[in-house]
Amino acid sequence: MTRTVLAAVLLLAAPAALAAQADASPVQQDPQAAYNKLAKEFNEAMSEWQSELEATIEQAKKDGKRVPRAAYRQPTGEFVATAQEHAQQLAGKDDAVMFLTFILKNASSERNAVKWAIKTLASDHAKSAAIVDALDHLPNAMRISRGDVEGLLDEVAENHEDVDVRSRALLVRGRMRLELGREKQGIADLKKVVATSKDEDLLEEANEALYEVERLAVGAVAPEIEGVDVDGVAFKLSDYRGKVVLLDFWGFW
Amino acid sequence: MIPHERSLVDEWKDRPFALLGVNSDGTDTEEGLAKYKQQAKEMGVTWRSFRNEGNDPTISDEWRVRGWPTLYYIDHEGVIRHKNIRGEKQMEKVLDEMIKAAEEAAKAGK
Repeated sequence: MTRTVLAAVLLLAAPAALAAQADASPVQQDPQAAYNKLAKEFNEAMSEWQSELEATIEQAKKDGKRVPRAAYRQPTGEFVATAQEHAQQLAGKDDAVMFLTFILKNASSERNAVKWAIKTLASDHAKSAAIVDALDHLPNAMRISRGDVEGLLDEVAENHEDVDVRSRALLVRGRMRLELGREKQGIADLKKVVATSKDEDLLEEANEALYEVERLAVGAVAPEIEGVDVDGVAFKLSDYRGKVVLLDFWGFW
Repeated sequence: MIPHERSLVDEWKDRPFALLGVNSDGTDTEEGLAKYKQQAKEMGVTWRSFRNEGNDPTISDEWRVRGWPTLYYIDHEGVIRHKNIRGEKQMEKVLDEMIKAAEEAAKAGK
């Protein structure tokens, strides 16, 4: 009797369990595994492309021919498309961020996917802790979606609840502003990171960016050099105060 | 590069100007130094260089140098005025302006 009931329960339960599994795609069941698989296949495709390209260049040199343009095309398309599908299946969930970040990191000519990724990060993930992993890669999308990238960085830098996430956004925005020649604003962002963050990595990165722009920029007093000449005789850069110095980092090699 | 630099050093030898190198040929080893001396003789390198190696961090790391050659134009007060100007004419123009400023400052100081 018990056995019959058990069998009946199993018979009833089995299709239900199967149906539940079919509802959740493999990506939804295990996003990290899906990401690892995507990343692995992508890396393999890229190194294969790289060696094919080298071989093509070699061959073209031998033949005295031009390398066909198509040989330079990176095989990113299908992987970016897969990442986009996965992100769509995970829409609204933190796990979508790694796939969106994959698009920012690896897209070559897939402009629409990049635009979509930035918009999705802004609309669905700007308040999430997971956004932090995407921040470093936002500058990659500057040429495609400048306004959206800046908007997202502003939003996270100013309104995220976690100070470390805000600081990471400030760091990325500060460096980006320096590159764009908006020096004052960039320095202000970086100084704010130094003043408010307690994260050692963030502090180091911010100080490094500031060092270059404050100590090695045009208008800065050159850092002292105390060294020896090629014969081992000690001297200093400041020995030459009063003279114009053309400092040349060079070698015969 | 080197012939032009040599001509600048010769041309401005009586004016407040110095070409200083930071050399990365490994002159902290005997072999590197011997090789340097030979090439310096052949190429007519007469100006002084810091040894880049043997400092920790190296001078080029300290100055965040990412490509060679890298040029810094430092005025008589030790202030960086230009970076990485490479065209010969442009180099001469900005250096001449800087040297004149150094000479005027020296005159005013006396």
